[in-house]
Amino acid sequence: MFTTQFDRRRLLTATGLGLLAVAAAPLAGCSSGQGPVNSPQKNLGVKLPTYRAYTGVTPDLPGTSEGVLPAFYNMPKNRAASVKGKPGTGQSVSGMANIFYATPPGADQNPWLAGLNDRLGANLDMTMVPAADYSTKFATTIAGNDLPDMMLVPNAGAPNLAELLKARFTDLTEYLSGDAILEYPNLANIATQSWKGAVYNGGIYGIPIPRGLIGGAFFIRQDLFEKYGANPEPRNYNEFVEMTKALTDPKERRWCYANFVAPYTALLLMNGAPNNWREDGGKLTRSYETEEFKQTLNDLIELWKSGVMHPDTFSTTQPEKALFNAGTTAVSYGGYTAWTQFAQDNRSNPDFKLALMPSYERTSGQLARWWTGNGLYSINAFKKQDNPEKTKLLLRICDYLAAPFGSEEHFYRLYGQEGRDHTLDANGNPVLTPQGQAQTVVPIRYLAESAPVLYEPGRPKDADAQHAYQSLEIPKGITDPTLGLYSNAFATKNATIDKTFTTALYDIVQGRKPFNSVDDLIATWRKTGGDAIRGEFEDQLQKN
Amino acid sequence: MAIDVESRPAIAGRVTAQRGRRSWQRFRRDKLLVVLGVPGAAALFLFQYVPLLGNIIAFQDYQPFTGIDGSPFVGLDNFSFLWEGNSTFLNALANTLILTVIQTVFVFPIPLALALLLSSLAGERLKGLLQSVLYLPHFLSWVIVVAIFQQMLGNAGMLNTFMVQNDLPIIHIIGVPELFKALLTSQAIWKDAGWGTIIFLAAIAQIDQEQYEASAVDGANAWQRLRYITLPSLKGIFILLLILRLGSSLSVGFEQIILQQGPVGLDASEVLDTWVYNNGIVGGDWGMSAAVGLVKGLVGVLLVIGANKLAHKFGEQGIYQK
Amino acid sequence: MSKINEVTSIASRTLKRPTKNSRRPAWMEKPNPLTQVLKFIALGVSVLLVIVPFWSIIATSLADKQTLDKSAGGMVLWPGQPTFEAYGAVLSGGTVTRAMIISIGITVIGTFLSLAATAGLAYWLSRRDAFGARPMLLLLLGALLFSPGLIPGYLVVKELNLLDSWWSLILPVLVNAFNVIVMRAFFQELPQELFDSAEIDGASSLTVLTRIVLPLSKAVLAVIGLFYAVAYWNAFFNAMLYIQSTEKWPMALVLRAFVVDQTAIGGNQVGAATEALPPQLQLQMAILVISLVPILIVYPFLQRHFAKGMMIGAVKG
Repeated sequence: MFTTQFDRRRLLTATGLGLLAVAAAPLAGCSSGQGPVNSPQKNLGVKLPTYRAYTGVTPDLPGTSEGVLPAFYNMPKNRAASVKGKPGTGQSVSGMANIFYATPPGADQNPWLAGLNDRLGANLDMTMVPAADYSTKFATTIAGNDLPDMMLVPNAGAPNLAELLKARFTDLTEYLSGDAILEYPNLANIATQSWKGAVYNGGIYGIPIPRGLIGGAFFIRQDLFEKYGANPEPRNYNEFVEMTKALTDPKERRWCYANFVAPYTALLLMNGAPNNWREDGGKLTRSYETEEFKQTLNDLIELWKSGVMHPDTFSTTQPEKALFNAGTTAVSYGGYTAWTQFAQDNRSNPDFKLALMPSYERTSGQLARWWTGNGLYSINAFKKQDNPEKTKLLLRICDYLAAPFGSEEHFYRLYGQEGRDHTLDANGNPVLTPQGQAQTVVPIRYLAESAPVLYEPGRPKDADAQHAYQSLEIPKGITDPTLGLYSNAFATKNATIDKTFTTALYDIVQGRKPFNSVDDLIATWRKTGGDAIRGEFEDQLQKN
Repeated sequence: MAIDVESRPAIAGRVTAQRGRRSWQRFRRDKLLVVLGVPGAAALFLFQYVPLLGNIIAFQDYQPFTGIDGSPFVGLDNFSFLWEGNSTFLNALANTLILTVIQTVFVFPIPLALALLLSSLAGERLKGLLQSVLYLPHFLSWVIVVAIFQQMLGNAGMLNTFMVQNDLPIIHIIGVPELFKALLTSQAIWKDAGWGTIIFLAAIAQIDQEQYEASAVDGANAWQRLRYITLPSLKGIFILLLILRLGSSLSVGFEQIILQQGPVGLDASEVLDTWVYNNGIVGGDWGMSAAVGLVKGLVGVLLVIGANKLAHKFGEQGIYQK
Repeated sequence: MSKINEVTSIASRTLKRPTKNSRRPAWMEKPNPLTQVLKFIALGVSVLLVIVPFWSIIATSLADKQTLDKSAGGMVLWPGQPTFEAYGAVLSGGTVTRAMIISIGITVIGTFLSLAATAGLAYWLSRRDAFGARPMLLLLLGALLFSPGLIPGYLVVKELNLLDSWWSLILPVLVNAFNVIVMRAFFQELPQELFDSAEIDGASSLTVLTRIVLPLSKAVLAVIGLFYAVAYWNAFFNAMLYIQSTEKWPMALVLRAFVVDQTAIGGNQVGAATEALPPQLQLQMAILVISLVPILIVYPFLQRHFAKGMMIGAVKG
């Protein structure tokens, strides 16, 4: 009762989030009566920027056009400048992005930032928003119509995203399409696949923040696998189950998995379930509706019964990574970039050995198809304004910020100045000082980011391991067939119906509901939006 | 020197409630009072009432890009969840009502009991120390509280690790749908009971000590003093708080619940606020979210008025009088 | 005469003489031992239920890495070899300290202004038959039961040019309807005779408020003041919305940036080696303790005002 006020605060957030983009004044120049402006036809017709790889450094292990990332053992010692001159001449530029780290000091107390501004020839003013609150802040910023010059726009999933982009943000096609991008060579270094995610309304509406296609990866505690005699490369279902059992002993407080997504994904891959959707002659089937999914569900029920999943697996506040670090669990699934953090967290533990586990098919002994990601994290969109010089300035700044690995600009952006922000180890790899750590986290990497590479400073073998893993899995990759398509029903309904479906799935896995109730779940999913989403996506497929 | 009210007929004071006075005269008389209240009223008006106008979208098919001006009116369409018979909504409503009853019966009186317990202690310092400890959980966010309960009572938490290591069967508490409401209630008690004692302690502090002394001299023992002095003095504030609590009956906690929906499933855990979030906000159904907010407010108003009338029947002041 | 004897004899029968050095008031009898025991059990259990987790929070924030690892990423009951590393990590760089100073400023000013506005409003509404009190009260209830949306609130603040100003953290929350209603109830409980005698003496409303009502309302002022202070201290949401520059962030928001889901805290950059940071849970616990400290310091001063009994002897004199 005494928490009335505080609960209302939460509700305020909740209902307020619901008032996304309530504009006091109607949007200028926007009319919804024109028919769809964001059609795949238009989008596929856009000439994507030319790709020109940066040749200033040679990776120790090359990348492939399929999507394996290039790997470096050590930081290149000769770092050439990739940008001629300074992007700006003293202008003030504003940006907004989310931040996952501790708040850095402001410009007056942040020599690294001052140095960066100096190199940019501009005064970069970043609004930083705690990641958990970004969608709220995004909404109010749009509604209040006081957009910064550049801002992070979440990739897909925001309702009416296409219309939002068209109405409030600049169409960059003329500046970036085809060879026009060569004026910004570092942006041309971004993979073509990543640019696809920035195409809406028949134009290019932002700079993509690129990520590797590999998407996620299965991390394992190799040391624990060795200790308990578990097989780090199970090649069929039985070996897989044995592996999970070998790692589990409740009395010793150890289990194979700490959360649901790891065994869920592992089994879906093993059973050959599609990457979200399966496309067949223009028709789409959601992975939930496939036989492979039912098989996976069965397997999960067995897995839960066998006790290899942590008893608090389904809890939202489960400290999954901490459990992995502590050795309570031995397998974790997450974005491939998690390698760095795992390595850092466990640096002082000599026993800790990190490795990656590939996926094999259920019976054939072959590698399973791997679900590739979409190649980007978000896009950086420019506020709509009339001054082409300003747009070019922003693009030059982004070009600088996207300077590739091994270039002088990239090095400063991540590591700052030697002595003050970092020190160098014997091989010339930088180690951030506490000051460097605190100051360099200003989230400019969401304004523009260099093309991703594999590099673990001071741990060249890690680069080997990751590169080998990607080389193994990417050739077997299958993409989500709805990538590049936009469905408003998806943007508005998917999160809800997905959450309902998965939460109910927990009940079945834990044995609280019978296996057959999954048919009801699928029926509900279809009724509450699944069919609508499917319809919209299929429409777009047919129009090709 | 106590003034006998009846013997002051000629003094033009507020005490003589003359209801027939013209408003202008009352205004002149109460000018200062109004002036004192204006800053607060202005802040309230500006920052609470003006934004409330935004709730008009509850009656619109609101789309962000057509804005309020451009979105068409759809009358009561957004309120259709009330009569559609949507099973998830009804389930959420049922959970909400059950929880609010449980909370009112079990959670609400505890701060009062604790306050009485604390105030019956003789030592000032001990009292202060105890109270300072008891209010601490209030400052934790729900994220932390849920994590703490998980650490202590989870299936691999401290309690169950102890059980497993001694070959005893695990006690399943977290993740059991049947126990969810009890879990929520105990979390609410743990978090806020101590904080809730503050108001009651303040009310107890207002009680004239001479009354206790006089009654003790007359032979009243501790129980009688409690029953005839303390409790009656607290009745007013208790009922006030109860009425206010009723006004927010349909809000039984959002963050606390949404953090724990996963392990127990939506059937057991969905309440009105989480339902709105899961079905409205996440999908961008702005009109419906605002509609639910209005309905909740309306229900709250009715409950407050009703509870107030009921209080009057029992001779209590309630929040306001007729 | 005989009446006095009667009273005295009753008194001597029923009142047990207090023992020497007792902290009990003279009129209170010695408590029943059984009741004492039950009381202490009840209180003891309540206190334990709170202290154990909090002890765990403190221990976790101070524990050394090995102990934390052994507990499988969870919380510990004993810190092993205590270390202040986590606190160091949080407080280094000065951002947190600066934010704390900002928060103290906002809390002090905000609480003072809020109390003034709330007391004024509550006083007005507590006077029976005061002009406009009834409609205002109904408006107040409306504010309590209906919450405005997020975006309209934002637009109002924007129109008033309060964006990026600390006033945007004070004015929108200056008056809390619940607090006004509670304070009003307390004012209403004050004996009517006080006001009557003051009026007869010719005191103006303002004098009545400042010389009589407020001094007697120390308890409720302390309580509501505490409510406001805690609200200001812990508020991060409005700061997230309205304050653009991180240099102006209050402490609660700075600390929120530390506490994010399961994501790593600290200098995690793709391809950046860093000097090791304490584990995330430990940092969160350290943050929690840091944000509690000022409240723990201030609270005892306020508590004095609502823990003790009062003599309203003024009425009878």
